[in-house]
Order: sequence, then structure tokens, then C-alpha cells
Amino acid sequence: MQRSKTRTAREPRLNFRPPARLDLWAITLSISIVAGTIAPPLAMALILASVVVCAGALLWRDLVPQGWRPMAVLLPLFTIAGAGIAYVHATTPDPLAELAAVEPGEVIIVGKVASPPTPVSYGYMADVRVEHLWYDGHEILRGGGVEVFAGDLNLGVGDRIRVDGEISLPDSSGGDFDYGRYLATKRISAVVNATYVRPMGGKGWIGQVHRRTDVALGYGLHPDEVAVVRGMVLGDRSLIPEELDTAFQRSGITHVLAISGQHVAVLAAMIYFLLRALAVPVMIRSPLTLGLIWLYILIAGVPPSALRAGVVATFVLAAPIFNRQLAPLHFMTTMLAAVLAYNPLLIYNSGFQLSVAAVFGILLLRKPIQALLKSTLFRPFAKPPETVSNLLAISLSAQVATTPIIAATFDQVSVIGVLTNLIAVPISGPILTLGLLGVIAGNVAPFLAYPINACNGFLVTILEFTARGASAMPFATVATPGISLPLIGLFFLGCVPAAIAEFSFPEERWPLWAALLLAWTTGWLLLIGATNG
Amino acid sequence: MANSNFDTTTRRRDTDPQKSLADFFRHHLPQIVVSALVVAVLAGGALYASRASETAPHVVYSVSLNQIQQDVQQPLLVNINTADAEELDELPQVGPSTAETIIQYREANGLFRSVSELEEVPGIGPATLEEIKPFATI
Repeated sequence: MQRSKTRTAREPRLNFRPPARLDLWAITLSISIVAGTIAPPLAMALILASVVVCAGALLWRDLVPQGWRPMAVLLPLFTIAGAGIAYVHATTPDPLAELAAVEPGEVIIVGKVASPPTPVSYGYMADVRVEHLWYDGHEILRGGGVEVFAGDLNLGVGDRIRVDGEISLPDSSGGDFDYGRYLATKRISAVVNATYVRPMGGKGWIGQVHRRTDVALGYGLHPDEVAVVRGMVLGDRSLIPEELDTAFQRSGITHVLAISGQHVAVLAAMIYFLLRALAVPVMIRSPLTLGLIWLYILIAGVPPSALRAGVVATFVLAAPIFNRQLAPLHFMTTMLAAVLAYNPLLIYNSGFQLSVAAVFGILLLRKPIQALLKSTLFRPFAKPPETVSNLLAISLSAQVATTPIIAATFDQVSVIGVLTNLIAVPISGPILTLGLLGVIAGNVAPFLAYPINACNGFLVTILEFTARGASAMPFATVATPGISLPLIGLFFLGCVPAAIAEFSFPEERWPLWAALLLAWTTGWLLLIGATNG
Repeated sequence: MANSNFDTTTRRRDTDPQKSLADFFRHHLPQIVVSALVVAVLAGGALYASRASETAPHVVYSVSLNQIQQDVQQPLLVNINTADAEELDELPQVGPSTAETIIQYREANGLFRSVSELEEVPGIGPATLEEIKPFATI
């Protein structure tokens, strides 16, 4: 009796272990949100299909395996919820955009700077969160966001400012790139051409952190190196010279300059193991690590890739506290559901698309590709080097998964990226770590920052050399202009067999499916090249 | 000997489908409740993010957008018989001194009988009059 009581007390009260499988709830909700945002009739079709499946599962007990029956019955709940969430966002009125559409002329805005000022051809631009908006002597709006263009914006993130200027809608007439929709993913409704900008009140604390970071990184680093480290630490790439930025893009390692899952993982590991070394109890260690990670993401301006990584990190660090198992694929789909419920327009953000595609690619394609590498490239070795094959497999799987998105966004795909990532990814972690340590040390005492920044400068030089050298090679990239959505869909359809290989096929078949995947990717790129002459 | 109507100890078929469905829902009540709660939380988050957060603009003083549009599109029209120097200055090719001259002519000769009479004002020739005409009235 006592033994069963103890066992009952130890078992989690919410038991979702098989046979009841609800694994597909998050992906169902996410697909429904995406369908409701991009093509509402498709969302209706999904709801109808889910109702049919639900009715079938209720009427015929053997329609689906018993363990999946609850999932089949609950399918309409998640599809309707997803469509409903998309509907709520789509029908939200935007009075700021409505005002901008009539181009009323001069308005007065008081708000806070939400992004670091970025130089543009005719001055600077920055995102501003509107607190108050006056027109013709009346305060008519509160809330929302605008993008301000001004001759000079000597401001930091979080600074409170007054802007006088003419408000209008963003110009979306420039080719394939919809600027208005890009701004909408950041919840920016209008643009303001400022005639007058004045700081009001004190400086924002995030801007102060950015300024202190600039000063600390300046101890011992060249301006180019400061720009690269600043980009990796703060996610602000505005100071990176254009030719260096292009070199990073062509060499396929531009992702190391964006705040991504790797940055969050490195930071989380640093903080977590430091706290463990200081004997901080696990119940305090995990929440404290999470808090500091989110603080870092906030300082970096909450870019979509960092938001994705932060949400997944929250699940990973919270799982042991709630006695849940670590399930990376489920965490990713749950993250997708949560983030898209918060802002469905992020599906149009290329940074978010790349981040999600890369992680799903790594989760689903790494093992088959690694099996292929072990059975081919590393076959001569008696004991294949696990780390190298793993690194190469991760690089390849991320590259394959992001190929169509990169092709559509940048009109070119880096072929050399498979090799350059083998250098860039391992050293980007130390660069970020040394960058953060350099910032902390530089704010304590400048002389402490010099040796740290000097070591970092050496690593950054290697990174820059890799980028410039690889991008100069004639076969570095393949041009891919004019990619359409059906072509992208076709590509991902071809990746399905390799993606499900781990769950559906025996392990000895994985190398075959991985080889077919790589052949499919090559064929797809050749097809694009052939159709474009 | 498999027969779809044969009851076994491991596979029983309830003759009352309602009872079997009720059993199903009773058995999976925790999953259903938690799923509904998760959906409610996400939907609530979507509502908050779209309508109540600081990133969502909201109106505090109602103005007619049609009225604003009309005010913006209203063309410049200056009454040359009642305008002061500042208003006359808004006319094309009319500066402060020309505006003063128009006022002096008006005071000396009375109100303008037509816009074309502006040509009588020193400093305003035929070409200047053609530019002023769309924006002037009596």
C-alpha cells in the first residue's frame, strides 16, 4: 500500500505518455494559423477536413490507431483555434495605418526609440514605439509603431523623443520586396519623414548598454572587428561595411552575424555552468538563466530568430523543473504555435523563416546525412570522427533546409557555405563568448578588456578572412532569380522522404535517402539555373 | 475464425455507441481539458497582442478621416479682396513686397472687379497673372 502511494506521488499528475498521442497539436495549430493568414479559404478547407477526420474517428474506433484517436477527435479544436487566431489578427483595426493612408501632413509623435538608428542614403532611420500622436492640436492616437526618417538621429534604444513630421504609408511599389509587409512583421504601420526630432527625458537603458558596449569593444579592436563583434553580440549589423556584409552573404556564413539559436545556446551554457560552479541550486539556476537570456534578447531588440531561440530555451530549461522529457521536435512545434499566435505576420519575415527552417532541417535531416557521411566520406576511417561528421551533417542539413528560402530572398545560394560553415560555426561561439566577456570587462576597467579583445580580434580576423576568401571564389554562389512559391513547395515536398527516414525507414536505408536528398537539392538548383538561362 | 461480430476479452464492441463515446470522453477528459486550456491561453495571447498591447494603436480622440482628407486636398484659394499680406504672400510669384503693392492698389482703387485686374498692379505682368489665376478669387 505504502509503496503504491509513493509511486503515485512520484509520477507526474498530468500523464501524456503513450498510448494517448497528442504530438501533432502544435503543428496543426501552426499550419492553421499560417493558412488563415496567407489563404483563408485554405483554413476553411483544413477545418472541414479536420471535422471529417474527427467524425470518422468518433464513429469508427479502428479508423486511426487507438493511441492517436484523441488527437483525431481534437483536430477540429486546433484547426478552428488556429484559423480563429489568424482571424483575430487580420481583423484588428489599425487606426495608425488608416491615418497614414490619407497623408494628413504634419503630425507630432512622442514615443520611445525601438531600434538602433541605421544610416540610410539621406540620413538615418529608426523604429519608434508611439506613446502619443497629435494632429491639428488634438491627441488622437496612442500605441503602435512608426519608422522615422531624419537627417540626424543621435539616439539610443529606449530614448524618449518627440518627432514632428509628415506621416504616410510605406512605399510598397518597389519590385518583389513588399516594404509595407516587412514593416508590418515588426508591427510598424507607417513611416514619418521627420522635420524636427528632440530627445525628451532621460536616456533609455538599452541604448546605454549599446553605447557602453561600443566603448568596451573599442579597447583593442579595429573598427571592422568592432562592427563584426557588435553584430554578433547585439545583433546590430549597421556598422559592418557593405563589402564585408556581401562577403559574408556570398560565403554562406552571414547567419553567424545574426542573434540565433547558437548565440542563445552559448549564452545559456555560459550562465548555467557558471551558476552550477557557484553551487546555485537547480531550482534557482534554471529560472535565473532564463531571465538573463530574455534580458539579452531584449537588449538585442528581440529579432525573430532570437525570439524563436528564447522560447525553445524556455522549454528546454523549464522541462526538468516540471519533470517533462526533452523533446526538441515537440519544443520547436510548440514554439511555432506560441510565436505565430503572438504575431502571425512573422511567417513573412525571412529571418524567422530561415531560423525555423534551419532548426527543423537539423532536427530531421542530421541523422540520415550523418549516416551517409559515415558510410561514404568517412568510410576509410576505422573509427569515423564523430564530431567532424556531426558538424558536417549539421551544416549540410541546415544548408539544405534553408536553400529555397535563401534562393527566394537573396536571388543566390552559397554553394561554398558547406565548407565555410565548418570554420565559421565553431569559432563564432568563442567570438561571442569573448565579446560578452570583453564588454563586461571593459565596463569594469578598460585595461581588463584589452587582452580579451585581442584574442577576439584574432578569431574575428580568421572569420573575415574565411568570408572574403570564400566569396572571391568563382563557384561560391549559384544565381537563383525569380523563385516562385510552387517551386519552393516542390523542393520541400522532395525533402519529405529524408525528413521522415528516422521514423519510417530502417537505419540501413538512411544513407540512401540522404543521398537522394542531396541529389534532389542539386537537381533543384540546376533546374532553377536552367530555367533562368 | 476471425469474425467482426465476435466479442473477445481483449476487444469488446459496445452495442450502445453513445455509452462508448461517453466512455471515450470520460477516459480522455484530462487531455481534452488541457488542450482546451492551451488553446484558450494562445487565443488570449493573440487577442492581447493584437488589441491590448502597447504595439496595438488605439484611438483616443475620434476624428473623421474623410474630413482630414478634404482638408488636405483643399486647393489653395486666396480672396484678393479680403486677404491680408500674409495670405497674398502664398500666391505663386507673389512675395511680401508684391503683396503690399496689391493691398495699396486695393486701398487706392477699391475692390478688384475681377482677378484679371491684378495685371494693373505694378510688378504683376501677364505671365505672373497666368500663374496667379488658378489660386485667386474675388
